[in-house]
Amino acid sequence: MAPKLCVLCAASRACLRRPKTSEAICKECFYSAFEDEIHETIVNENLFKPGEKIAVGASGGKDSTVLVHVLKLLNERYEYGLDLFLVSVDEGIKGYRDDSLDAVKRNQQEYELPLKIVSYSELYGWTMDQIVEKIGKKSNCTYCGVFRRQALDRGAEYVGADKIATGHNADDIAETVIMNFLRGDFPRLIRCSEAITGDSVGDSLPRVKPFKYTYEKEIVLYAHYKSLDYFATECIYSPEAFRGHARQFIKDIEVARARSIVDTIRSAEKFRTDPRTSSEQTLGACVNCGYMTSQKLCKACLLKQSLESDQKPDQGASQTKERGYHGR
Amino acid sequence: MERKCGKCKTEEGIVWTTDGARCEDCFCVVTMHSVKTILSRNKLAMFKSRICVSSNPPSTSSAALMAVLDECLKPGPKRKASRMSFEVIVLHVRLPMELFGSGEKGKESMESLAKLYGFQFQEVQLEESIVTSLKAIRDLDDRIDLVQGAVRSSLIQKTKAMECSVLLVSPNATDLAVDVMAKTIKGRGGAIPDEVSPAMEYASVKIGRPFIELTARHVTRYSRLRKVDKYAVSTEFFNSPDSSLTRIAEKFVLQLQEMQPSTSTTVLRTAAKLRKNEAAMLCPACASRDVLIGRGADRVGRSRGSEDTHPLCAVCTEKDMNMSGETVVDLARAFCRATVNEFTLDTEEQE
Repeated sequence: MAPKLCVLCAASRACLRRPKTSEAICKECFYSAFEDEIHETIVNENLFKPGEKIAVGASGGKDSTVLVHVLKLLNERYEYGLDLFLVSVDEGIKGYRDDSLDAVKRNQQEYELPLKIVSYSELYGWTMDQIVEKIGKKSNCTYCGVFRRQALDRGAEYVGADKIATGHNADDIAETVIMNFLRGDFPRLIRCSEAITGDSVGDSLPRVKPFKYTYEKEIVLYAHYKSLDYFATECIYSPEAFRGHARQFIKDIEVARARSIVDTIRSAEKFRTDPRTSSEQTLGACVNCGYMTSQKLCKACLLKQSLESDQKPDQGASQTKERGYHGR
Repeated sequence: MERKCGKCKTEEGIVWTTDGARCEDCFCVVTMHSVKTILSRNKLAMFKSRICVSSNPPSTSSAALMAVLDECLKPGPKRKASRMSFEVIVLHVRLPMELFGSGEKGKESMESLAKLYGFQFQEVQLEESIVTSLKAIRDLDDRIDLVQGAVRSSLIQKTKAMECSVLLVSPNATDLAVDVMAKTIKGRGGAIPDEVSPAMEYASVKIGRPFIELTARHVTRYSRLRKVDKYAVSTEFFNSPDSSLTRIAEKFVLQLQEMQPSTSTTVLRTAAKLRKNEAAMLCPACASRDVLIGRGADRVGRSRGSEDTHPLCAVCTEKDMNMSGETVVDLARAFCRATVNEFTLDTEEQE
């Protein structure tokens, strides 16, 4: 049987089937298609402006490693005029974060980009191992998520960045849409599909997602074929997360119809809120640490207080206006 | 351990709900009141009006809907006559098995139930050409969506032919939550606001969903207590393979519902907050983002106080396209004019 030719160039032999489109294509065409789609997202969503300093959230995993590689490549190819920096967060998880940080340091040397590492122990006085030891594995992702967000903002501010680029891909965004529906988190549901989040006018740095329409499988394939150096292990505390249900659902629908991941994101883009009833939050500074918050204390300080006070954390339910999904 | 009904405090509670134990009569009364509230708040059952009721699919929900409407029309224990008075016409679209229908069996079952309650029964036939076209669709999810659309259109046409202005349909909260998830993953998020409202206007017919606040479990319990569950007929749809996105969404919601009973109501409550933004039009440059045209603007996109008839979205306006903003607006206007001219030429040629 004759080898199958690439459907795009019809010259080289096809070596993979693109997860997004099921097309049989060669390596070079895959690289072009992958990089061009990300460039299209950057241009169409107007993610960057020339001269901006971009802090790339680098965890050493496949998404952030591919993000650094592609952003550097596209920055040179299309002359975005960006200054790239790497910002990494050390959560203090033994057997997981130490190895992935080594991968980040190797990437720093390879791409010759400045790197800033911020750690939970420096910022909050607690590592994730200590937090899990205290509260167990039930709500640890809540703590990690809140702490990591603030840590990334602080690291980006330290390097003088204008925006933060994260490696959130199409699968992540689709999972977030489903999760916010199940939790009844309406404000997050409305904004979770945006490629740029955060207020550039206020104190928080905008976050951009160049991988908004990029499939996780394609990121893995790209990293594999380009032989990129990354650390591929799941967080040891993550299997208990609620997101696991949404993730399994997304995987199931991807098997049935590959484009349903992008369809989910397109649906979320169509979601609208009633402008007469939606209310904007007034942002101020936390009285404790100065981080932006709509309450007196920011969420990180609240969680830190609950850790230090030996009380069961209420996860700020009495402080926040919108109640998340607690299964009641 | 015997537990008394939390409502009447006399009979033994046999059904457990979120409000506590309920005896058979009180449970049926609670269900009836929930339906009556939806009907009266949304003006679906006006005095002496004629209402069409869909019995598609011929499921437990459809049977329960007929049973609860019968109960609504009966006088209460303290009244001589019921306060509600309307005529019920049951409609049924007979679908072949390939189109997820139950064929003759479903029709007979719903007809016998309608006759039991003294309701008029009307069969609705899909046109042969439509049935042939639907059978030719290979993609399972597309076929499911188009069949549902064809059934709805047929029911609405029949409702108008019967000189009724209201059509009641039987989906419960769980069905609607599954529908919301399915629409989201199929890219039809824009249609969700209409599908989760207790009543919506479509082609001058009001479509009501009396079971919107009741879960599938509640409706099934009610149908068992009223002894109408035997009239339900299973359809091919529920046995469709896992390659159907709708079936995957259904399994997902039902699995989560087992762990968290409030899943369906949470999804519906969130979806109910979504709104169709009617004061908006698509940006002509990117055709993906909305351009808000203000509350006082008319629908052609003329903003109040502005001469710009085709405003761009914020992203396209800001975008550095190596052109001035004016040139981009001119391009967009030229595109819109060309599109309008193209369609006008076709019309003139036809004449």
